[in-house]
Amino acid sequence: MNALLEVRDLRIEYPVGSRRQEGWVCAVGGVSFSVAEGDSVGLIGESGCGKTSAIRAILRLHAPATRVSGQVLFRGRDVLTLPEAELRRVRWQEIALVPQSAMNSLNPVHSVGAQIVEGLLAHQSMPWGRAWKQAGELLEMVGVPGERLRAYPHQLSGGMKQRVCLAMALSLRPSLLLADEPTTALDVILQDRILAELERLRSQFGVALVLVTHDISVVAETCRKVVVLYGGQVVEAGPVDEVFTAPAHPYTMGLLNSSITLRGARRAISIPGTVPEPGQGQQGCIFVDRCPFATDRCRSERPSLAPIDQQRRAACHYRGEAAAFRQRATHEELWQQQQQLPPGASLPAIEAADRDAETRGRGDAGTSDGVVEETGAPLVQVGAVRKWFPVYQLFPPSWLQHRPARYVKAVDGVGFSVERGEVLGLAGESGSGKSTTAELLVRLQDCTAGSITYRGTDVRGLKGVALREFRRRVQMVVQDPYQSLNPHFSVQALVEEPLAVHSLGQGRERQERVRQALHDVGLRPAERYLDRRPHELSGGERQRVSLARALVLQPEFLVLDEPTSMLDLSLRAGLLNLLQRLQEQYRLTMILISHDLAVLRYMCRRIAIMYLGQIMEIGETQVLMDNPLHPYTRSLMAAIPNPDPRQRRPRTDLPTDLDERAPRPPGCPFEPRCKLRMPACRERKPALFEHQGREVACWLYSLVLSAES
Amino acid sequence: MVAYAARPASYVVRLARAASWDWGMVLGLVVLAVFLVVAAIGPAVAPYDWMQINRTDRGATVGLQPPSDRFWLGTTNMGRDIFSQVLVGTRGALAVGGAAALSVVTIGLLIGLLAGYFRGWVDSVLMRLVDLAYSLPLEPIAIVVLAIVSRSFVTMVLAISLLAWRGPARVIRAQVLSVSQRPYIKAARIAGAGHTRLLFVHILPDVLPLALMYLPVAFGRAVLAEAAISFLGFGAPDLITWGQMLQQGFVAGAARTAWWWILAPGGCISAVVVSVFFVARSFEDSLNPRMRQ
Repeated sequence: MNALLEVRDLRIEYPVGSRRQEGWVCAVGGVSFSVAEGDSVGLIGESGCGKTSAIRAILRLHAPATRVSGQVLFRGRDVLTLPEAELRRVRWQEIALVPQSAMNSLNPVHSVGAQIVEGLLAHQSMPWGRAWKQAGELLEMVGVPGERLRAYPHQLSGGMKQRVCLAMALSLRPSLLLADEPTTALDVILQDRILAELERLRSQFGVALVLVTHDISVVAETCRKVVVLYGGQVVEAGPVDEVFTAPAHPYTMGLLNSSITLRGARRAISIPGTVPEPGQGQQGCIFVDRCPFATDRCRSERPSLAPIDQQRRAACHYRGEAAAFRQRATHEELWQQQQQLPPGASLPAIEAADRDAETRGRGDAGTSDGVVEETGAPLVQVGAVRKWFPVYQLFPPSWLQHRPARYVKAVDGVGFSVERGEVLGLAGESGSGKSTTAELLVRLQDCTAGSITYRGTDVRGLKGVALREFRRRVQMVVQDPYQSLNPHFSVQALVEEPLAVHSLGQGRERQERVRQALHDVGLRPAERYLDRRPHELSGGERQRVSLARALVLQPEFLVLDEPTSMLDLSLRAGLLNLLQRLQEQYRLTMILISHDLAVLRYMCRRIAIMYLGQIMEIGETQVLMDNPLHPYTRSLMAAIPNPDPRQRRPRTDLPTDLDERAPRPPGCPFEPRCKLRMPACRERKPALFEHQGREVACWLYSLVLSAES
Repeated sequence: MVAYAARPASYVVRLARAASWDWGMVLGLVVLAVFLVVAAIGPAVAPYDWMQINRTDRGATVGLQPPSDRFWLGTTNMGRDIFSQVLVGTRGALAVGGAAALSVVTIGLLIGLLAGYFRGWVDSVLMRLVDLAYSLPLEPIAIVVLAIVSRSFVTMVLAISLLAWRGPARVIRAQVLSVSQRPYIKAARIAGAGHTRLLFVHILPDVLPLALMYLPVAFGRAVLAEAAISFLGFGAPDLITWGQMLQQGFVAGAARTAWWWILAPGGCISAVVVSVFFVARSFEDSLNPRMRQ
């Protein structure tokens, strides 16, 4: 195979300072890799490693002020120096890009068909009618029914929009497709379906693929080759099978360590520290600050990307000792030691502080729960809760009929209970009503019907002082760490706010509690963070500040809504371990919401699977994972990608995307997508009943139905 | 997701930065500064009392004199010095404009905050009020109020503010609607924050720039409205403003002949309104950097 695309020593520098250019920051520092005809290459690394910058520069899409050097050879011609007219031909016709969060790049005022046709006509001359027909075929190709051409973006689900973008990228039959985090914002099932689509397109049409992602499992499953980027440099490259089974660079080992799988009971280990800011002048190895194997040589001399064998390259001085490193890298303590210590603080001091906190935590738990705990009543009880949103229509006017045209049933009869000190997981696709349920629980929204009791008192009627007290005991960490902190506040003010609202503590004592909370969530030393503002923090740090805000009130019950969805693998592992520690330390009762069953398996004692506002299956994690009964649970489990490239798994068996707006049959909500459906499923709705140690709502296991027939 | 390169600079710093390269802003600020100084010290440095009827050595009034060494901007038909009148009138016009702008923006801000935050029937009621305010003409209603209540400085300010708050209220409500959907507002509610805290600690800082942007706009509008109302003869009798000077010139039937009588106050009004426009535009750019591109 000859190289279709060859990137040679690509360097990208951004200007710093607004008008007077004060200097240059290097985002990508000398990256080289090549893509063969019909090949698939994964570009992985944490956020801020220059993945997106590199991919955009391949199409010369960088901002005008950017300084780019090196070569991007596409079929032997350098894209970086092509004249504008020829560049236009290469873009889209030869190389197409699916940008990050592509689904938001559709124009809301044009139908998706018109948008695909626009791209077609810009590059080819053909009658409009033929272009329209071709657009329909393209949609079919990516698994969207052709009649959706007339649909506007808001009428399509997230997965459909993503596919439309894919269809647009493929419209001119490019020979190379660049996909920038094509599945990051999607839930596991959609991710799986999109990945399957990409794979199919590659094998059917021979499109070469460059996939940018931070998720190693995605690369492990879809790519043949992988390039690991760190701090704008390639630290390791080679065939996926070899790199992921026997990584040669400590960073790759760290990435693999931090992944969680459905099966493994292995503890995820996060890589301590963060990606160095681009442009920090450094003469040694770029990974040295976070590497547990770093030596003096690593600090003084930068390793070059040298071959290990014919296909693999790694940028580490100690390539030869990789096997020994791999052995040692699985020990968590090794990485922990590496944690950067602030000048003046020693490890024992921090540990002592930890122990202090632990004893204090136990003391608190002892005094507050003490006797009540033994009564065994569940802390939270949810009974047949409904949240229906009315939808009014203009014609015929809803107000004439004295009722809304219809309802969106976000939560439709959910019931469960949470024991004290228990961690319950809520799983399901986007649109299954998990977040709404969470908001009902903490009373951010009022439910339409049903009951929610906390410590035996009904949450729905709470007002004034009682509500305030409830807010002190029940906390929630909302979904998006990038937007859940007020940008005008400093970290100090953010964490102090709950205390101020509840008038807890005074002066010094309050400051002490703020510091303790920051310390608890691993922002140490707290003093270093107090004056920062959210935009100066990384995603992981922001999520920790959110958590500190919740913990500073010493709540009994904590709801976490997708706490890891926006985080890199390593940060995700770090946060989950932190949550686990805090849960043990303070005996917190928690509800954890995620679409990723691997995360829930890692954290929760019990898991509830939700679908379209109803619980499909609920039971002990172990029972559920070992032997999932409900077809939906099985689909969810099947959709989780595996970081081990040697293990192939079947793609998800769900034939269609979840469409919340579709009319629902009177029977089981999952019936339209279920492969095992029976005639009765359409007519009658199954209730939750005990079966094989868990509760499941499916006629497959019901004796009632078989007895009747 | 917005990633800032550095801590956002304070409004003042950003304003200063914007001013350093925007000539419209510089010009506008200089003109406004001059008028402000004049408003502050005008009456003290005026060469004559503005009411004083000037006479020749022989005792005849020096009516309708064109600009000269003695009367820099000429005289009125009664022999009063127009330059002195302009100096004193600046204070009146700017005081009415400033006070009205402040009250317009304050009222608009409060109503916008309440409507956008509470929504539901509060929003419906307040927004129907805004619709009502939009359906009424500003100056005629102000004149009616002045005629019924009293012709004084305070009434003038209130009469102008009575309807002018509709603009900021509507715009600020829209912004509040969007801000109150942000996840950090939800996070604050979970922390236990009450309405007052959410409104004034979390939402207000986000809409304040918008409100400040309305300040110069409202100021220019108020100066114009005051001039128009005074020109029609409904100004406060104890207050000299540019509008009243125009009115006196008009009533005296000198508008066609004594160009200096009309030009001086008219030019001042135009200068203030135009420079306010320039400042407001640059203000908007600097507070809302996305619009600059």
